[in-house]
Amino acid sequence: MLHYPHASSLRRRVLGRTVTLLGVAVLTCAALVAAPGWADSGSPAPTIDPPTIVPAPPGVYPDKAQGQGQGSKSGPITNVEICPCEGGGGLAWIVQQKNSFRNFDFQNGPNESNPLDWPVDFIYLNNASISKVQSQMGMFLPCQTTGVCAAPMYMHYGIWSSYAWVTSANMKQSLSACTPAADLHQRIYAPSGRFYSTNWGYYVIGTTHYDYQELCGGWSGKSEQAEKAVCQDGVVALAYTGGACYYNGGPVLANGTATQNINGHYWMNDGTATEALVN
Amino acid sequence: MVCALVAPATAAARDHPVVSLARLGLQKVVLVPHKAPDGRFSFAQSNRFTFSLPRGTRQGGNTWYVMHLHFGVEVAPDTGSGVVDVSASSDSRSSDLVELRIGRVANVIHLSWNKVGLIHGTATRSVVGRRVKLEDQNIMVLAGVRPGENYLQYQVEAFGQARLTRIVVYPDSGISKSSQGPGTLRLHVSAKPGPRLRVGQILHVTMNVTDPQARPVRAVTAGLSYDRKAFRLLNPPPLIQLPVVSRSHPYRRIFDLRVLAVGKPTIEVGAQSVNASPEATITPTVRAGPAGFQWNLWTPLAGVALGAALIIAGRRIRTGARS
Repeated sequence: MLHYPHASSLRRRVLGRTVTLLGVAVLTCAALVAAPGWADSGSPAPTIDPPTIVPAPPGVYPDKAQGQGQGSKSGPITNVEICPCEGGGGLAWIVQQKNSFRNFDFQNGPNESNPLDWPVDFIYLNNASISKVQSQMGMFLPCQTTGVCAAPMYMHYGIWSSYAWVTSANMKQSLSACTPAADLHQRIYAPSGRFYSTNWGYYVIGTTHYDYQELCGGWSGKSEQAEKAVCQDGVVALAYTGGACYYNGGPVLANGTATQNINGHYWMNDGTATEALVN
Repeated sequence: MVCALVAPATAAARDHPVVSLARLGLQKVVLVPHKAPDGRFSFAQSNRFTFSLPRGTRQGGNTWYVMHLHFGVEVAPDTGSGVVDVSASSDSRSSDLVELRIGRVANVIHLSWNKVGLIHGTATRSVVGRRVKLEDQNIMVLAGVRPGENYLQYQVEAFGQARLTRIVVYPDSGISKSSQGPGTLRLHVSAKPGPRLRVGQILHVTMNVTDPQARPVRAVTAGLSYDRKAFRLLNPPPLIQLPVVSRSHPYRRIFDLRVLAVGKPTIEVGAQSVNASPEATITPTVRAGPAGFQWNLWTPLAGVALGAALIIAGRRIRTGARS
């Protein structure tokens, strides 16, 4: 009869390895369960009502009409409170054929919870691009890339997406801070250098204001007066290529404000944009 | 160097020519920009080339007019960096505007160009060299199409330190008409398991982007945005660039989001293009995980503890066998 003195030890080793392997397997399962991709089954329930989105017709879509008009965005917009908006105006989406943009630009960064900066009050249209407008209007607003002239603001142009933001291109009369005279400043916006629609052609949008004794306790704003002054400049600057400017000749953008200086932010806008024809 | 801005649109083959430089008896149109009086930019405009459209003509409805722009750019050897805009208009209304950026580092000249329009969306390309040939089409503006006499015109402007030798507009440039209007996007969104969720569950959001029109939509960005404290996307990326969405190439995707926090978070699902930007917002109600044992939290921890215990026990058994 054969005798195996180590049989018991062998069995224990095999058992030990089996238990160890089982432990490794359990650990692996635990890791898989914890990893992204694991789905608990959840109880089957009806699908959330499927919205079918129809492109919004042109118009103004105030946020207070949340959930009603196509193109509105849900969620409270608290920064409207700092704008003394009047005449039914306020932060809104402007839907221009298939394009959309906000009727105010935003300070500090691409986020709708940031404070509003200035109302959109200028539309350069027909054959406009950011580069072209900067170059032609540079006759009167030459400071475009230096210091406070280049201080950026932000435009939200795509209704649906938090990602659809564009940073301003700037045009300013003078670099001089603390200047005792008012200093014209316009910011222009468009994704990819220009928007396109079949009624406005290639266009960019702009916000306009004065800076008075900037950085020296002065104020910024009076958009309506600044809009008129830039348009007067535009009559000359755009004429060489056959362009023109029509003060308040553009669309109503529902962003009229009271004339009110709130901590140096001097609101003044009638809610109707200026049309600048660029060739 | 010959480059098409984008692949020629398939729809172009179904377009019918209305007017072209060749039909007007022109071999080419050459534009040599000159400095504006104050020297801020250079500018050149072609003659006006007249053509007639029949009574009742208008842009849209059953007939869509398309601008075709085919041109070559030759940059001057002494150019600096700057921007060049080349455009085609009818009746002084621009329907095609291509923008080139010239970058110069030492003797290397880099040309990049982009366009925005309703046929090719937004497109950007680049090349190293002083010459490039570009081709583009776009759905024309409403005011650029009218019955009776119209005129076609080309224009170039150079900004910054850009210097051009010349622009040549080729004879196939002109206007065609088509029964196909611009493409558009429709969005259909659904979400499972339902509007009421618990922390730890997975929300499956399905988006379908389609183009009901015959002409495709190009350069589409589609995806979703969400509060990262409320959800974790399990199958990123949240955004994707689609070269084309058409009847034959709709886009469908299911996003899996793990619910992280209690509340009424929102998820915005949408698509972005020059042609259309539909969106939908989903606002589920999220409650705490199931009362009692929270499997999603404790199962991995229990697994780790059990696995570790088994490994230690296995080692002890083997150690006992050796001694």
